Amino acid sequence: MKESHDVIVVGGGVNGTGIARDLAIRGVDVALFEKRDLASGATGGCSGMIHGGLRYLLYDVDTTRHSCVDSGYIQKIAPHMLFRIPFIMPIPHKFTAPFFETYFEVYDKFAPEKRGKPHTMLSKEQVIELVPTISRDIVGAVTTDEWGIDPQRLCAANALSASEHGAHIHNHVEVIEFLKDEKGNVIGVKTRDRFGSERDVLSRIVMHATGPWLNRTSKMAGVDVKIRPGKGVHLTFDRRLLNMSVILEMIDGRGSFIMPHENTSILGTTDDDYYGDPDDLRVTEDEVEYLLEGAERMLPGIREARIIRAWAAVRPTLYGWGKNEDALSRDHMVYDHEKLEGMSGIVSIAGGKLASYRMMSEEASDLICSKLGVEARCQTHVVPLPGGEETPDAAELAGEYGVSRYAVSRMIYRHGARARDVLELTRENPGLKRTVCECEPVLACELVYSMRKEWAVSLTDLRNRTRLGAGPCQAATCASRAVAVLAEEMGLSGREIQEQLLSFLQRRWRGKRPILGGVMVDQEEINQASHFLSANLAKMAAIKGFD
Amino acid sequence: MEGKRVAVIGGGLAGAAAALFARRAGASVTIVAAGGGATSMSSGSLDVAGDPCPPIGSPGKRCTDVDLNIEKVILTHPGHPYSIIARAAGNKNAVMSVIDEALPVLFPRDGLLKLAGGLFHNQPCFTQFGTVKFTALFPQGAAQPSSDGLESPLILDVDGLSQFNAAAWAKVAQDSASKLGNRVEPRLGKVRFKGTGERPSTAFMMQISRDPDSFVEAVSEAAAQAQGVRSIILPPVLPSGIRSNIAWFIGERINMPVYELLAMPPSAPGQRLATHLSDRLAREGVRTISGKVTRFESRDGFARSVEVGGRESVEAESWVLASGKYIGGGLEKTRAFRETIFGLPLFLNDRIVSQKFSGNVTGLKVTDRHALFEVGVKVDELLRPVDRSGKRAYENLFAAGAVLSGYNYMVDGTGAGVAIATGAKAGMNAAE
Repeated sequence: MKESHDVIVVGGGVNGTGIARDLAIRGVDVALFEKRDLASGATGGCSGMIHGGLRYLLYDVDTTRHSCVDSGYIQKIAPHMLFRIPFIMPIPHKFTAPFFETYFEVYDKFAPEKRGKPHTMLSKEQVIELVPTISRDIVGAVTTDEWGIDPQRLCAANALSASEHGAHIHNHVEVIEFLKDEKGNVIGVKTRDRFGSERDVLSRIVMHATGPWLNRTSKMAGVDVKIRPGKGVHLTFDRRLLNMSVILEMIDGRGSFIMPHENTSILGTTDDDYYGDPDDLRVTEDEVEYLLEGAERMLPGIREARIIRAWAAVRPTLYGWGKNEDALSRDHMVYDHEKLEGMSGIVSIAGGKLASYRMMSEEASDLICSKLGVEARCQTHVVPLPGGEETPDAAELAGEYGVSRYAVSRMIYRHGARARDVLELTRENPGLKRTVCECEPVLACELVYSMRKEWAVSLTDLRNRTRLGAGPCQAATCASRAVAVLAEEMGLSGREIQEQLLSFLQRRWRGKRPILGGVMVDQEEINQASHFLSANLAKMAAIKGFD
Repeated sequence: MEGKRVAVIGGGLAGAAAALFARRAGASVTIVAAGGGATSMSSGSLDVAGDPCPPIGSPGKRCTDVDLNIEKVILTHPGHPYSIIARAAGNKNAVMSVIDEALPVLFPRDGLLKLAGGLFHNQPCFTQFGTVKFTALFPQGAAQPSSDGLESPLILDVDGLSQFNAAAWAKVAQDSASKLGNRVEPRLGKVRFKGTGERPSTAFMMQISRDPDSFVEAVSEAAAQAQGVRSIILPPVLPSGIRSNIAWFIGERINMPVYELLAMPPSAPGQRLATHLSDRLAREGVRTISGKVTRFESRDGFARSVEVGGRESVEAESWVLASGKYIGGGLEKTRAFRETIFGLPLFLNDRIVSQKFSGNVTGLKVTDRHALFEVGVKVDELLRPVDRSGKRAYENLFAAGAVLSGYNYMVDGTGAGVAIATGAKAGMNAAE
């Protein structure tokens, strides 16, 4: 007999995992399939903000409202993951000040929903005191505040919660076909795992949440969903260059920002129609220059700073004709294909923003439940995400397990109350207290935890869960240490160890190649000399089209 | 009588070779060294010439004949420093003979650093990661698949050290050995050195300078725990200190072969190499000034003086630029490429390279041959850098090592060979 579930979710982004969680808490039997790694598409490549959508206020007030309301909920269910990012919007000329004042007064109305602070007007001197590197060519600034988050952790927490409520999470398992009955209704999917083995899985409803891949998978499913994919590029700097986010105006008049994010700063984003393969995204140097040029106007010293990485993702924006990319609505849509096209067994979701993922998941889950006849109500706004029950004290945990307090505080940010479970692994194996990645830092126990509990099977997955290799050295020193932890836990062969290391170094290279300059060139010379010359890795391993 | 005054910029392998050869020719030599550079980060082995077209994944099938590899390099890469030396001498054997002449000068038999291997064949040595690297010269005590007792070694983890993992090493080493038709059946062990703390780092390990006898004790204790092992392999983390052949030393004392692996940075063998070179320079009466060159002056087409660290001035009649590539600080790439000291034009494939997107000088795959690492100064047959018009930039300036264009030490396995050959030649030319 074939495996069967009430619902199959296709796609392991924040929508897919959010919906799986919502349904699982309501008692629905769910299986989720993600072809690459959780949060490796639009979710992992977004700005990482649970924000109110200030920029949508002018033309998309609903998105602003939804985002603000949901931001408040997310702060309640995952308090450990959120950090406040104060924003300043510099005012370049005297005559623009009253406009900003009015604009922010309107935005203030949404602020209490997201526990935001009302705006303040700053004088030029006050701005310079807060951001000493800012251009002197301003008359003042307006402040607002938003919340930052690690989107990959948010996604992992949703998947973990779903799984703890009975959902089956299948990471690195691709849906290669939508199965249909003789009437053309969807009755399940055909999947292929990373070892190549294929399997049919049946369901009453398939939840189609493939984000950037929607145009492709819609064709495969035979449903009418169309997105206008938009490529967004960010740059990561090696440290917190500033303690507030600064809103920037780019050469073409579009908005952008630079913000402190965890141990780094992020500059972004571009927004351009993308017609290429969502599996093969590359940042170009022109995109890097576009961002730097825009930032340079307000932060004249920005080119002196060290960029460690450029990254890109594709936004699954709702289709629209006749508008520039940045003016497209950030609204979302849940497609009831039974109603729209008379095809039952499948529901799709497109558009939206990270900040409102929970509400979108609720909407999609409500629709699915009505189809399944499930009456249970949504609880995702009140049930804490795993680790969100309480935030432990870093010093206390560090003392108890004999590890660095700083490492523990970073771990608590990622795992909340579950940091204790992570550290508990060191009781049976004290060797797991060792630091693998010094930049962030990441301890060996956290890698093992991610492999045991969070579906990580490769170094790249471990990067997504823990920020392994995401710091200034970009894995030059931690890669060979991390692969030893992976090898032990996963029982890898000598050949697999080399393949894992090469494929991780290649992933890191993709982000470094467009920004290599200054000290990053020195760093890369060391990185390549140590792996390919001193360890002679490339010539030893038989490489088969790795990427 | 005082000889010619020669100044060498760069304290790595190329700079040391230049300084020692200028000294041999009777010059009075000053070396300006900003730091250990790439030499101190190297694996500890000296590459002279790899196979220019190695079969990937079948290391056993590559050409290991160093002479033949040099000949192939000269035939296929006319801009390679080896080709320049061969052309200048009108003899393709000139490269090998200058390296042969230089080795005893750099590494005398009675010196501190004992090298094994030779100039005829590249031999496989195990690295810290378990792979094998084919190389000409390597530290005495390097672990080779064919070494005595290596079929059943005890591979030692250093307690708490995260840079090395014996279990992963064993798996990769078995894979590597089988590709070469060898067998290695490692046992895993653990050693704890006194005074290293609970979770030591390699950098910390390298700084503990103590009596090697305490290492002997720790290693022999670890060996006593294991049954039926015929040799011991140590990760390359023991202090650089004065004793370069630490593994061999421990082996003699415990009466069992002890080997050490080639390193990834931070590299103890690389540090030893750097320590050894500074010791050689001091013994030969080369004056060393530490610091970065902050300014330089020329007159009438001659380089005259440099300022070091914004204070000290160095004057010389003849100059050798051996400042290295990006790690060494000889080159910089921001939006444009720059030679950091004399502002010399930089070349790629024989053409001047100025502003380039990094994507235009790198490949899509990290393992590709990246032109980025082939950028450098172009030299005439006497190793004098040329200016934009293709004529020598200064009458009295010579260049050696990684600052040169035309070769890619990352993939062609000629790194140390080029440093030694061009260093020795540039030193001789500068002193003439």
